Amino acid sequence: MPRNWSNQELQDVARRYQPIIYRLALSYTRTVADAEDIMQEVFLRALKAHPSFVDAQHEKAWLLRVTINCCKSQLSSYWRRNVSQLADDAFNPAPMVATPEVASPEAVQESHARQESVLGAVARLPWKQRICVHLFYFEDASIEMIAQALNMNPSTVKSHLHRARLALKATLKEAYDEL
Amino acid sequence: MNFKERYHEEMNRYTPSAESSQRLQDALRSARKPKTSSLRRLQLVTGSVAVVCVALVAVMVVWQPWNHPQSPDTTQASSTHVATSTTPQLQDGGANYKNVAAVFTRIQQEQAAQDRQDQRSAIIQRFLNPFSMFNGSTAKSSSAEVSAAPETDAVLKEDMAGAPATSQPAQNTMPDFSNTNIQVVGVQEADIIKTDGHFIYALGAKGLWVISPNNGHPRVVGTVSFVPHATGNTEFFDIYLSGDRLIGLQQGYQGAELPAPLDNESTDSAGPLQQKVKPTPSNTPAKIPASDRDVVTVTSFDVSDPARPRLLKQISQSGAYVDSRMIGTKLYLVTTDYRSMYSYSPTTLKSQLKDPEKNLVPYTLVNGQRSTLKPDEISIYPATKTTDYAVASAIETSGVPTIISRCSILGGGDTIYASLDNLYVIGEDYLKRGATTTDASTITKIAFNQGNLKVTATSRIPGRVKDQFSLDEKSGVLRVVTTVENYNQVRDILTPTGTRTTTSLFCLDSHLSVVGKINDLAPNETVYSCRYVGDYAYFVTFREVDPLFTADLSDPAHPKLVGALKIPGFSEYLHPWSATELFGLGNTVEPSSEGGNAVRRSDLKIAMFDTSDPTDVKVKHELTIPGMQYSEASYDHHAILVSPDKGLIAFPAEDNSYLIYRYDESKGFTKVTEISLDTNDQGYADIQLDGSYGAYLRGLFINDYFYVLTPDAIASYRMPQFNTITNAWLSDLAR
Repeated sequence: MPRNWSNQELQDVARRYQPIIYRLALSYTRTVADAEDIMQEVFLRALKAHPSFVDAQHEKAWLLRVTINCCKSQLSSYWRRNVSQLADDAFNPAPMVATPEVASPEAVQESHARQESVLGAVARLPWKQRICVHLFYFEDASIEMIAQALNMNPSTVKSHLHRARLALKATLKEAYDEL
Repeated sequence: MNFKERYHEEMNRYTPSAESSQRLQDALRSARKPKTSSLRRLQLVTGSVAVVCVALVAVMVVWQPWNHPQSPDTTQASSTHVATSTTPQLQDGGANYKNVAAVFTRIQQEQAAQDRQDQRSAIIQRFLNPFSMFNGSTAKSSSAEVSAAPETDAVLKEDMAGAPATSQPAQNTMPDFSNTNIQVVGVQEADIIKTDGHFIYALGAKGLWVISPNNGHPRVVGTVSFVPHATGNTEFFDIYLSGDRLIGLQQGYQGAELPAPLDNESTDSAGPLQQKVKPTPSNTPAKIPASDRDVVTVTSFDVSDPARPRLLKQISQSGAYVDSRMIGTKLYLVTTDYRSMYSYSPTTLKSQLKDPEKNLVPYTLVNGQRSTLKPDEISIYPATKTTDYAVASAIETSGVPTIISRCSILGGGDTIYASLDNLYVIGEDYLKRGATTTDASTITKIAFNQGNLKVTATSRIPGRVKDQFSLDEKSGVLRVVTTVENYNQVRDILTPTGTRTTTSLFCLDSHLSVVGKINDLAPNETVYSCRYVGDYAYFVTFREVDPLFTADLSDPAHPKLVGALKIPGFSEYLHPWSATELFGLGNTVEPSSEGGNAVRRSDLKIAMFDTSDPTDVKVKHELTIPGMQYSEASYDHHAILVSPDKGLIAFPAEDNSYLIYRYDESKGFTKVTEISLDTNDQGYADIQLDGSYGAYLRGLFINDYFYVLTPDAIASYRMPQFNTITNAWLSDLAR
C-alpha cells in the first residue's frame, strides 16, 4: 500500500539518497556549491509534498525527477558560479593546446585523450546527454527510468545516449573503446 | 579500465560535504508538522504574520529593491507573459562581432548579479528556515488544491458543417517503392536506410551496403567504407539519397584536426567495406589551431555507378547534430553549437573577447578551410539566456557539394520543423513571474529561399513542443501544440510547491505573432502525439485515459476545439491514412500497482479513427498486440511504414521482431506476418542496447517485394502472401 513518509523516514531517505541526488545535481550543474544547494531543495520539496510511494524504485524515480526539476528551475543561474569550485579539477575542460607544427595528428590525439578526464569529457556534453550518461552509467538506471526522470521518450533518451557516446568516443579514444 | 569504471571512480570522489549533510538533517529535523489545537493555531497564525512582517523587512533590507534596477530578464519575461508572445527584433552579430561579445558579457554580468541575489536569498532562507513548519503545511494544502482543480470541460460544442478533412498525408511520391516515412511531402528526412527503387543503401556496422533488390533475391553490389574523419570518429548515423548523390552524416568532435581535404577528381577513395582508406600525403588531415568543438560532417558520394560509389567531398559544421532536411538537391543541416559559459571562466572570457571571431562564433569547414560565420549570418535572440547557437547551413549536393548559405541564432534551439518554404527552429526558454517559472519555447523562422537562408521572424510562446509533429505550417500560418508546465522555485519557501501541466494550441501568422490560441486544455496531462490534417489538428494527451482532441483551425484567429474522444490507452504516433481515417500507434493501459486511478503502459495497440466528422471522431477499428509493449515506431517515425496504397502498416517491436499488418476499411486490421531477425555480436555498435525495440530494423517495398533490413542482414518476401524468398547475412550476399 502506498503511504507517506514520516519525518523520521524522510531523514533516513535523505541519508540514503543524498549521494545520488548530489551527484546527479553535480552532473547537471557541474559545480559543487550548486549541487549542495539543490540537494537541500530536493528534500525540502519532498518534505512539502509528502509524496506516497509504492516501492523503492518509485521513490527513487520521484526523487530523480524532482532533482532534475530543481536543477531546471536554477537553469538561468546554474552556471553563475562558473568554474570557481572545480576550476582546477576534473570538470574543467582540458586547457587549449596549441598544436606544434611537427606533432603528428596521432600524437596530438593521444595527448588529448590522456589529458582528458572522463568526468571532464562528460561535463562538456549538453545537459540532456550528461544526465542520460550519468543515470545510465552511474546509477545503472534503465532507459525507461531515465525517460521518466527527464520526461522524455525512451527513444529520445537512447538518441541522447547514442550521441553522447559518439562524442565521448571521439574525445576519449582508447579509454572509451573498452566500453 | 573502461569508461564506466573511470566515470565511477572520478564521480565517487565527489560526496556532499559534511557541513551540507548536517544542514540538511537539521532542516529536516526542525520541520516537524505540529498537531495543533485551534487556540495554538491562532497563536501560530498571529506568530506567522509577525514572522512574515519580519521576513519582509529582512527582505527589503537585504535586497534593497530601491537600489536594485530590474533585470532585463524579468522585464522581458513579464511583458512576454502578458502578451503571450512577442516578436522581438533580432540583432545581427555587429561590426567585429561586437553584439556577440555583448551577449557573452551580459550573460556573465547577469550571472554575477544572480550570484549576489542568491547570496541575499541564502541569508533570507537561513533566517526563515526555523519557521519552515508553516511553510510545510501551507504547501500541502495548496498542492492538494492544485490536484483537486476541476478538469476543464475540454469538449466545446460547436456547430460544425461536417466539412471532410482534406488529407495531405506524407505518403509515397512514387508508386512502386516506399520512401522513408516523413512528415511533409517533398521534405526528405535522414534515416539509416534509403532506396530509389533501383538500389537499397543501408547503414551497416562498418560502412554502407549497396544492395540490388533484384526482385526479391537481393545481392550486395557495392560497399562504402566510412570515410575516416580526422576526429577519429567515422560512423555515419544517418544517410540521404538524392538522385545520384548519397550523403552520410557523422557526428565528430574536433580536437586538433580537420577532415581530410579531398581531391574532387579522385576515383579510388571508396573501396570494399574492409578496406580502410590509408592516409596519403594528399588526404592527411590539415592542422588547425586546437579547439574543442563538436562538428557534424556531411560526406557526399557520387553513386551514378552504385557498384563503385565515389567520394566527392566532406563539409563540416560546428555543433552537435540537431536534425536535417533535404528538399530537392538541397540539404539543410542544423546543429547546436554549445558555448556554455562554463567553458569561460571570467578571465578566459576576457581574453576570448579580444578575438570574438576566433573564439565565440560558429564555423564551417570545407577542404580544411575554416570559415567563421559573418556578423550578418548571426541573429541574436534578444535577452537570450544562453550562449548556445543554433547553426543552419544550406548545402547544394548536386555536382560537387557547396555551401550556399549559412545562418545562426545566438540563443539556440534543438527541435526543428520544416515545411517546403520555411525552417522553424525551436529552443527552450523560461518565463518567470514571481516565483513561478513557466516552460516556454523560442521559435525562429528561417526562410529557405532556394537555399539562401534568411532569418525572418522570431517569437516566444508558453510551453514546450514534443517533437516536429507538434508543428505545422499551412497557408503561412504556423500551428503549434505545446505542453505548458508551471513549477515553483523551492527557494521561495512561502510559495506552495507543485507543478501544473496544461496543453495549449497556438496559431502564429507569418511574422510569428500569435493570432489565435486555445489555452488550459487537459490539466496535468502531457501531449503524447499530434498530427495536422488540412484545417484540423488532432492531438492526444494522456494521464489515465486518452483524449484525442480535434481542433478546427480553418480560422487561425479563432481556433476551436471541436471534439474530444476519450478512450483507454494512448496513441504515440498519428498518421493520416485517408481523407476520413487517421491511424494511431500506441498502447493500452492497465491499472498500476500504485492503486487509485494510476495506470501503466500495457500492450501495443493500433487503431484507426474515423475522422469523417471531425466533431465526432470515432474509433473505427483497433487491434491489441499481446505480449508487445514497445515499438521503436512510437518514438522514431522513420521506423514505421504506413502505405495506404498497399494497405500495409509495418513496424518493429520488441526482441527485434518486425510486424506487418494489412488494413481494410471493412475488415479492419489483420496480421500478415511477424518476422524475427537476429543480429550478430559484430553488428551495429549499439544494437545490444538499442535493438530491443527494433531501433535498427527497417522495412520497405519495391514493386511486389517486401524487404526487412538490419545493419547486417536482409530478408525478402513476395507480396501479397509474404512468402519468404531470402533470409541472409549481408556479408554472405556480398560474395
